[in-house]
Amino acid sequence: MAKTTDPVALNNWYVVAALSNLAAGQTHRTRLLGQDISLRTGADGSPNCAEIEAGQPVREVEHIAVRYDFVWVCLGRPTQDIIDIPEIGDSGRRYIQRGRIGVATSGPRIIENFFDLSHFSFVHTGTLGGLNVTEVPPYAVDVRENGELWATECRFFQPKASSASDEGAEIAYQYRVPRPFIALIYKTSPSRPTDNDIIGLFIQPRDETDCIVHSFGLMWNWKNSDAEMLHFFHEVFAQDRSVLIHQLPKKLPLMPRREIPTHSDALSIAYRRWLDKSGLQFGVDREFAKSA
Amino acid sequence: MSISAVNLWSWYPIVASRDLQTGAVMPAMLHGERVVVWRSREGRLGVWNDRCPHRSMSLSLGSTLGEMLVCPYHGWEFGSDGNCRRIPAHPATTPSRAARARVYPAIEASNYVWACLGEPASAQPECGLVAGSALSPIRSMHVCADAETVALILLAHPLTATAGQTPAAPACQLEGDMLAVTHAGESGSAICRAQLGLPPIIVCKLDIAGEPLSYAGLIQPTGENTAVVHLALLGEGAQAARLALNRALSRLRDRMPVLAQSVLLPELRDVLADLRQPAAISVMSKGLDHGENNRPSRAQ
Ligand code: FES
Ligand SMILES: [Fe+2]
Repeated sequence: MAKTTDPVALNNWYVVAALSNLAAGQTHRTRLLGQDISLRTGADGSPNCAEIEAGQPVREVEHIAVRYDFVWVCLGRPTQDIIDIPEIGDSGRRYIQRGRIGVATSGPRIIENFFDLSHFSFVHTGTLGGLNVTEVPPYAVDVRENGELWATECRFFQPKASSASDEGAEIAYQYRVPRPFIALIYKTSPSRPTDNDIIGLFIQPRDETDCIVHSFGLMWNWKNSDAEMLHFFHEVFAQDRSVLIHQLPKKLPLMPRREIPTHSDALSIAYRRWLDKSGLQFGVDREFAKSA
Repeated sequence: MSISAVNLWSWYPIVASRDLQTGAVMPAMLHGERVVVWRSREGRLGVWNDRCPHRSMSLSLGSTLGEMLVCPYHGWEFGSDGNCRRIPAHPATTPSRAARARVYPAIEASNYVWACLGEPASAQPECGLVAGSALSPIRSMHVCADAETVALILLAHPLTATAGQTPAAPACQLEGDMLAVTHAGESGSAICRAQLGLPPIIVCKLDIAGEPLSYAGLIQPTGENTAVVHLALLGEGAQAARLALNRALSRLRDRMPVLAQSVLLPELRDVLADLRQPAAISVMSKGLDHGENNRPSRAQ
């Protein structure tokens, strides 16, 4: 697939690597929005990016930045800044980058799964949900003045909410979807119940139905090793991936009747409308909307 | 006239009954359509579109719960009519009527599960070839060829106990609405029949070395260039015969690319093409030849 022509997708910023993954002097090849790119750190440690065709760099990518120890790239003309995550670097939370994981589906499917409460009991049985408590209480959804989509007042009983949990607890959740391919979770911290742990997902859409997921944790957790925290995350993510790759069509259908929602899908319904309004084409399925 | 056009009113074989145990859920393909095949605790059969109406998860990765099929993603429970009965996220809410899986007509007959992608024209698989006789499943095998090619190969190359036993010089003739291909040689004979205009079911009566044996090849078109051959004995047969047929089918699969190029196939296709012109049917009787030197002559 060639580089997309969808301006909405092109004008967004995407994470394409964790800074620590770029070895000095080495070229890191990857792909964004159907375009092959190469990343290289210069003598001063700052990365450069070029679009590649037939194995050769053909265009320097103008918009590149390092933020939150991730490398961000915009292949079009950025219409917004890289999202602000004020909690990074200002608190006693521990910041951990959680690697990169490939998932062969569209970015919007991955985002929807990330903010979905009703799959916990079935996909993450024993950790993020239990079969004895499956009910999803009502929650609030709103689009903020700055255009971000939020869900608040979410609650769910979790047997093991994080690697730091000792016992099950009712966990309060908030979801923040600032961009079509970025979502953050704010959830009760098991080790500091008056505060939040934060988990962020930065999707790097290689193609419409093939993504790399970069993510971070910002946790009130000083008792686990990095390996223990990563292990918990990878176990959860492997479970999510096992459903994601079996959801067809891979592109997110925006036509309301194509997939039948229920109350607990309020955020999913809002996300699809929000994407529809944004004009995004990349990774979504608008065909059904026309044919029905 | 064709022996394999996939249509919306015929029954197609999906799986041998014995391969679908109580409580089992499995994926299958029918003419490019992904389906889930499942059997409830009470033995009720379901062949559905393999897509959960909620968020399009593959239902074939789900499980059965008594008389329900449960989606693995959010645990929605579906009754045998395809309607969602329970949404675990809202146990007190009655699911909307739109929350319904697409259910295909499915029945069990002659030890196989059959499904129809549209409205079945008959209550049973309408093949006169196997009606009344018990099919005893031997094996189901995926092959890389379209259903028509597979059917023609099965007509042109009967499965025999030993490689090379197929008598040469098959002859082709119309018997009512069936196409019969007779292979007669010194070692014995084989008559392969297929019913025209219906899903390809090939029935073959072997009489080789004084041992009569009948088998059926039920062909399930899975994709444009893939199919499953369900091989069954007609009536009861000795274990040795089952083994021999099983091995013959493996040989057939291995030789599939070669057989698909065999000179017999275009000849059979010609016969079928002739049948498309009604006038030709009454004079249908045609000799076919294995040999490279003798082009088949049209006996009229
Ligand atoms: S996708 Fe099947 S229950 Fe949600
Ligand atoms: Fe999940």
